[in-house]
Amino acid sequence: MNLFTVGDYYISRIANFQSKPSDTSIQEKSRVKALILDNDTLSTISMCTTQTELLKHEIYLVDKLENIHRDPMPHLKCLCYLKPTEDTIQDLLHELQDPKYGEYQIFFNNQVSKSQLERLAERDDMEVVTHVEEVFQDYLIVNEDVFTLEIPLYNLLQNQLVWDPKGLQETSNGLISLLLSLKLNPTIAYDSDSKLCQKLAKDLEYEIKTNERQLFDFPVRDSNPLLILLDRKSDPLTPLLQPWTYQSMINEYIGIKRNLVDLSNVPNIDPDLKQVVLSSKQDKFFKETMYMNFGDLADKVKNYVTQYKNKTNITKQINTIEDIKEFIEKFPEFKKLSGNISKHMAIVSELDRQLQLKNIWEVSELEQNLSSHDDNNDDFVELKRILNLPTLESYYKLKLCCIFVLRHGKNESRVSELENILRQQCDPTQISLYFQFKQRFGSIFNKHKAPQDNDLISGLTKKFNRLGSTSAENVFMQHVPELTTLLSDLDKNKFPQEGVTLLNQNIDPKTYMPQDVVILIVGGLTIEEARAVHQFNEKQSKNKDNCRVIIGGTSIISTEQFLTDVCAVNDKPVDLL
Amino acid sequence: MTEGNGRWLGSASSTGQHDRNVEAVTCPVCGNELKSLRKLNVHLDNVHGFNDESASDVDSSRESSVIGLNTLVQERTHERQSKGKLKMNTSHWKKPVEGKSVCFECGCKLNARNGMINCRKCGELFCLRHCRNAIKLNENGEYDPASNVWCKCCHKCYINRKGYNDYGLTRNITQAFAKIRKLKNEDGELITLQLENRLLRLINGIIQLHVRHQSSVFATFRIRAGIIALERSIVEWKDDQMATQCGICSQPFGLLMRKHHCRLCGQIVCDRQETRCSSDIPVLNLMSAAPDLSFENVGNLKAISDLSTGVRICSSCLRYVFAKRKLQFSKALKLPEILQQYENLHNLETLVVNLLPRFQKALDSIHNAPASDETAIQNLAQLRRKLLQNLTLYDKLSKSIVQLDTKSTAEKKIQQSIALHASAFIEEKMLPLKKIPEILNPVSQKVEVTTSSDLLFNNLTIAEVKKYREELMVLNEQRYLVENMLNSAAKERRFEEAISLKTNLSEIDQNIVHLESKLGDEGF
Ligand SMILES: [Zn+2]
Ligand SMILES: [Zn+2]
Ligand SMILES: [Zn+2]
Ligand SMILES: [Zn+2]
Ligand SMILES: [Zn+2]
Repeated sequence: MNLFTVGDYYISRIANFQSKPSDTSIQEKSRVKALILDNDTLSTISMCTTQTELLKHEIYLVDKLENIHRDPMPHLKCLCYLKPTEDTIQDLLHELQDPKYGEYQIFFNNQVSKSQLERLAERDDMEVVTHVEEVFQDYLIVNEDVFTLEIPLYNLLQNQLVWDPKGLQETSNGLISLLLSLKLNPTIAYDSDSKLCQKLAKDLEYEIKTNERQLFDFPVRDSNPLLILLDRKSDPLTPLLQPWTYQSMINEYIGIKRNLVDLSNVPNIDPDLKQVVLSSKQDKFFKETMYMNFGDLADKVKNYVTQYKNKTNITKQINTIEDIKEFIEKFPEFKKLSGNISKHMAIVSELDRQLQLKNIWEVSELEQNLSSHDDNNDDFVELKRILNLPTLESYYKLKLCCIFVLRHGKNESRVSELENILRQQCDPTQISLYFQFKQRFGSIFNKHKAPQDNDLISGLTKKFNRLGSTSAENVFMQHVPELTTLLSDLDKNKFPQEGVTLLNQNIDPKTYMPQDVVILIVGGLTIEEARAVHQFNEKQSKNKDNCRVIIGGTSIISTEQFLTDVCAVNDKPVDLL
Repeated sequence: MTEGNGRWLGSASSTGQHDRNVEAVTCPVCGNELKSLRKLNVHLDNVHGFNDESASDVDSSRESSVIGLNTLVQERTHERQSKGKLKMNTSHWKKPVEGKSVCFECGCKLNARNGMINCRKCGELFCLRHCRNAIKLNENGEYDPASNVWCKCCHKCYINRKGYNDYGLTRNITQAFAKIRKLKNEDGELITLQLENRLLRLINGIIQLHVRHQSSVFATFRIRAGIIALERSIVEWKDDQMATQCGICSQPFGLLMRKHHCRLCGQIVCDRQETRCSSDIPVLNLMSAAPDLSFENVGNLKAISDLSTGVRICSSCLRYVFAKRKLQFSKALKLPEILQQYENLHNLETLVVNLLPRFQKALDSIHNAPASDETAIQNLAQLRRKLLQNLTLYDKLSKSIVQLDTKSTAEKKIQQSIALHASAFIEEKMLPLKKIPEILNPVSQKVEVTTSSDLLFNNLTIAEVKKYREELMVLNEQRYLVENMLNSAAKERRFEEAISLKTNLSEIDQNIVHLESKLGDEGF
């Protein structure tokens, strides 16, 4: 269950598929291949492979289907990797009407409807298409165990409780393709408090058991794979907190899209580093550090620099042929290292700059205390002090209030005191956002996190920390995502004891021992949660235990994205028709 | 602690001694501490679902559910089996030998502390840590997803379950596609045949009219009249009055939108520039675009240029008749220069890739046989020379591809890709070749040569000359490499790198000068 392995498999399948020669007429053919993508598959491809990899497959021309100004290259074979959306099918019909390449092999990243196939077949009167195939990768791979469907919340939901029909369809399609790519025919469980998840679960079940029965005809497994659908609503605290691990900090402070980190806004940045590629697949250093907290990361980067200096030192004294040879042999590595190191230094120093600039150290400590301590005066005094800081961005003030109301909303006098401060400190949009947030989450969470639960949660936290053998007590990472509870159960070879419901009532949750698990968080996944899952997987595989988990979200969110989403859905006009 | 109280126990006799030493144990699954092995077993069964028997088993039978960790228990198991309560066949289980059995996975000596347990499936013996996965087995110890019984198994058995490591479903729908295409295209092919036939008759008729009237005084008039009659005989024209809009783009006709009849299908269409719903195409162009149709010989015409008549054809008919021909024609054109050159480059690449394993093999065989074998060394040297030659050729060719003028953006992109690929290939394949010279020129050889000859060149022995020449060659190769690296580093403005490369280059140069002065006239 390594998503990168799946991605590699599909790419090499697409790149190297040999279709039977259909054309017997005399023609000149080149070995060179063109790869034509649409916007969706361009993201898919760029997140699981590199240009170098494509070059190895003799794919020397990559272009987009929608680009109608492509030059005709009748001697090339064209590999199309496309998502069967209506727009793309239209573009493809155009392409087949007036083919620019000599031969087409078409790969769709999900199922093609019968009518789509008919329209395409009808248009291909010149018989340039030699192969049509469905592969199943209608999702983006973020890490080896993390995926995203990349559907913004605005397109996902009609309002807080109702799916947008298109969003539901997209989510279901994406998940189905994920399951097929992993060859899993799952038992479905959903967030017990979420109507959204229940609806999605039922839809999926119907697709799997009726519509796509043939596709899901995999050998029965002794432990049926489990698909868990969770609702972001059930843990609104995790996405509110400032993250402290490398990948999630990049996501929070700089942003990463299609593995591209945009540093162009960084003051005095080296022109070569304005846009850098960052992938845990290609970059070993990143793979090692992506889940490290900022302190450990700084040490690691320091070591990396020393290591680099040592390597370059070798080249200082070149006297013998041996030295030269050694230098030449090491040169490519040296070159790579030097490029990589300046990249990470640039990112880390930008993160550091933003932390200072935005007062994150102070804010985060308070955030963590508010979320893990019981309601107490010290924290409240500190909260009031920070809310009145003139230098702090009002966004963080808003967020602190949201955290407080989520955790200690019952203390009405404190809440109203805060709201008064908030009215002075924030602009009207933010204030309205706060009240929307309070309305949406305040009640749910209070109920969910009764005081006696706290001990249980923190107990689990400790246990989990011990299991994950991660960093020791750390004021900035006291909070543990709700998801951890579920993972602890899986770790004990148990179906989660609470919070999720099996769709199929005939399965006894007491005897069901899930081994392969896919989790989807409707409403967005935080990278801190992805980290929890990764640590779980690492532990499982180190101990050769039973369980493997893949997690994903309808999107990957930052704190700001999460808060913006809260009002995005609220503001959506209701479509009465 | 008594013999029966734990499935994790080793042999019955040895446990007695450990009675008082046994402390709390940690569950290998969740890390909880448990007071005794017995508790651990109960815990594993209850919490982690490790039941070797069906869930209905009651506690009293648990003690003996300890399937075969030692002979004693196995015997008990046997008793149980005869009573028909325990069904699992244990004949494939390895029997533990006291003090000798080791874990099949980690090789540790098995005892009461680390456990001694059979993988229920393969039957090998394992320590506690290495037999902790859960699998469903039937009574014969075979994997059976339908079984109700969870059993312990080793990791290997666990991961080899059917479907466990499967991924990457694909569905080939080419056949369905081709079937629909064939069905839909049959009509199209009929239409094409019909239109081709009409085109042939029309053009041949026009040629005949030209031939017949070419010497007439009224040639133009007669030919014109003849063509009008001919056109009407090929296909029935749609009624002018009825048509209010273009048959292709559906724009209503008006003063600025003139009506035209397609001479092949009779349809009424417009001739707007933007849509090109129809065009007036000279007969000669039509003939050359479909050279395979049997048109009348135009040799009988006095002047071919007389045949300037045009035929109006709608875009739909044009597509039916000419699109496929056009595609075939362009596919049969010679490859563009850049693609041709690339084929050569690729062949060279294949050559190098095929040579490399042979070279590696030759190298390994020399490393493995310390007694230096003259022919083997020569063989290696030859292979290396060949490889380097081909790589140099490859490099040259790739550079010439990069110099080519490209005719389109697509070609330009392909050119850039080839350049990238070629430089990566050279970097990857050339470097391993740098290690070799000292093997090709071992010290022993030098000694041999000195004794056999007293000839001196510039006060150097032949062996020394040979050695220095070899070194010089290596240096020159490396100089070339470093120079390239330097150029690219400078171009990409990686100055830090460029500086260190520059020092390198000058050091190499110094070495070259030094060697050359030593060699003197024997330089090359
Ligand atoms: Zn346990
Ligand atoms: Zn072992
Ligand atoms: Zn086994
Ligand atoms: Zn028209
Ligand atoms: Zn026509």
